[in-house]
Amino acid sequence: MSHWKFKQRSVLPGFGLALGYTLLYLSLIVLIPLSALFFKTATMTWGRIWDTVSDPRVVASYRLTFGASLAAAATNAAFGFVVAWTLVRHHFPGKRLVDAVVDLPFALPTAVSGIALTALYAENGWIGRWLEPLGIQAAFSPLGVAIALTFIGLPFVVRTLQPALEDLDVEVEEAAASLGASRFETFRRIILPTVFPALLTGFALAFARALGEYGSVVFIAGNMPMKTEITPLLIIVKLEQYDYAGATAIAVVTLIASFAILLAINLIQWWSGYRYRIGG
Amino acid sequence: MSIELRSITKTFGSFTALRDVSLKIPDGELVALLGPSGSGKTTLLRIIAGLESFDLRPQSEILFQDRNVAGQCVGDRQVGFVFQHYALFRHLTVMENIAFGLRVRRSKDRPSRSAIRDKVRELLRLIQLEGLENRYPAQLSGGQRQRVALARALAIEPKVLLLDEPFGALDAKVRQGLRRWLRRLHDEIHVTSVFVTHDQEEALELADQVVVMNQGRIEQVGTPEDLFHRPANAFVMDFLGSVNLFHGRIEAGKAVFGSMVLDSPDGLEIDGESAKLFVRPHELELHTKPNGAPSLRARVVRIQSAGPLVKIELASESGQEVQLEMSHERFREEPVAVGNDVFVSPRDLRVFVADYSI
Repeated sequence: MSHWKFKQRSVLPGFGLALGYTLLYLSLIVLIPLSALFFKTATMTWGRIWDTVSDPRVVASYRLTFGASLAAAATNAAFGFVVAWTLVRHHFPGKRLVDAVVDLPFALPTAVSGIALTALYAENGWIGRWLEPLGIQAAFSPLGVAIALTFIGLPFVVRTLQPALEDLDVEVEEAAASLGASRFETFRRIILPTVFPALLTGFALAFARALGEYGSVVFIAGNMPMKTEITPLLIIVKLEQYDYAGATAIAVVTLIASFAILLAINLIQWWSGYRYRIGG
Repeated sequence: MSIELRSITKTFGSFTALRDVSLKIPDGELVALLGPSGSGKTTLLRIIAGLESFDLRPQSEILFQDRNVAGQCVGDRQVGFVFQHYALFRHLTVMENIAFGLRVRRSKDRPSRSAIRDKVRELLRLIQLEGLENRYPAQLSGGQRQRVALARALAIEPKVLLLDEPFGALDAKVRQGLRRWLRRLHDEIHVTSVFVTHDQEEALELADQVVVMNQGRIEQVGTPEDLFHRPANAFVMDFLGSVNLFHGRIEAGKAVFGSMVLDSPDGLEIDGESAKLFVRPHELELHTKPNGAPSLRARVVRIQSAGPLVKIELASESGQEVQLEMSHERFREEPVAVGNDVFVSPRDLRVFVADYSI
């Protein structure tokens, strides 16, 4: 890569200043606090770190957190798509209201939504009482965790998909129709691939948000060891026991895992999108 | 396949895009729908394609070879549609774009993979883009993209090819080349084709028949020669090329335009009626002395001789701007300079009773 240059000549001034500011800002806000995690963890011996992060109770929490987050993000990707599609493509009375409702999970304090969800899905709640006879226990189960994580992740998918769907060229769909493609074929071969990068971004954001979620989950989860404890809860527990190093050790594991997953998603996105953006 | 439209009306809310339009397009012809923006030409094209519905009235029909297709949706009409902005599938390669119409067919109608590949190869040869089949649309120039769009439309072997301002988004040079190429292509494959344009030069150069539209109505249908030399009305005259307009009155069977008195054409004998004279710049003659023919006095304002014709801008006695064109030979025979007083007389006369204003 001999033609790769660190700094490209540009008519826009202030490249050095802008880059310097970006690095400083990211350092202050993101990198320094995160590196503190590693420093704190490093006060422990390797053996102690391993014992902490591989404790069966902690491992069970990883499984629940990542599994439920993945399930929630996938659910949101599917149903959030429908919501975004409806909001972009259809006109109906009260559309602005529905559009605003999408943002509620952003705005509500997470504890409020957690309590509300728990009340709804508990055995005697409005929804829980219909699920109970079917043998589905929603609250105080891994399902409950997934429900709470779906709730808080929805806006991410809808809000990232909306602009992408709005940008869809109607003529492209008309072209597909004139070539004999059914609506389903048009959706599968044209619309979905076009908005896929945005869908993936929404999925990644919802997933990342779900990994770190605490407030709305702790109420509906019930926090039974080995069953419904999420990783952020265990970190809080450690903190309450003044085991700061132990807490940061678990945090580091989640951090590395999240970063790896987000990086992988970004790579997929880059790979799926770069081909037809060249020169475009 | 011939196309026939019978009294098609289209309204968008309170706006009437097409008013009772009827049109016959013979099999195998290349027809231009020409008109200013808002004349309804694109709406008419989209109605033929089935991309737009028209107002339901009992007498309204669209016939493809005597078969009413009004109830059919776009996918069943077997039309190839080419959009102004190409509407290529940007996540698919050139080859996948062209093959799209064949690949989405139901499995029993779908050609084999090798048949599709052969078809795409053949079309790539036709559009002269061999070797670019693995490029993405973003990696092509505007002219190349439009040719891919055309090949994609042709891949389904349409009965009718419809093009919506196919060269509108291209620069002048590319447009010229692509225009001639499309004419040759049509002579080769002879599929009934309709294209929309607002560029009169494009319509006259390319089409067998030109349909001039204005405000949702058809003003005239004819060959380019017909339209240019025998325009049906003032609008057509004005729309097809630059034209000088003189206002006058009909008096005692004569049309009077200031100092110029002309014999009034047939049917214009009502005294006091205002009349309009349309003369194209190349139909005006310029003399330094009066030669007996009815003429207007004018003064030379500007001479522009860089080009195939000498263009002279004049100001008439009444101060009106007059455009005149003459050959370089003629200009050398009777040279004039800026500021000279001259006499201008029309060679070809078209007088329309006023009901149309420019």
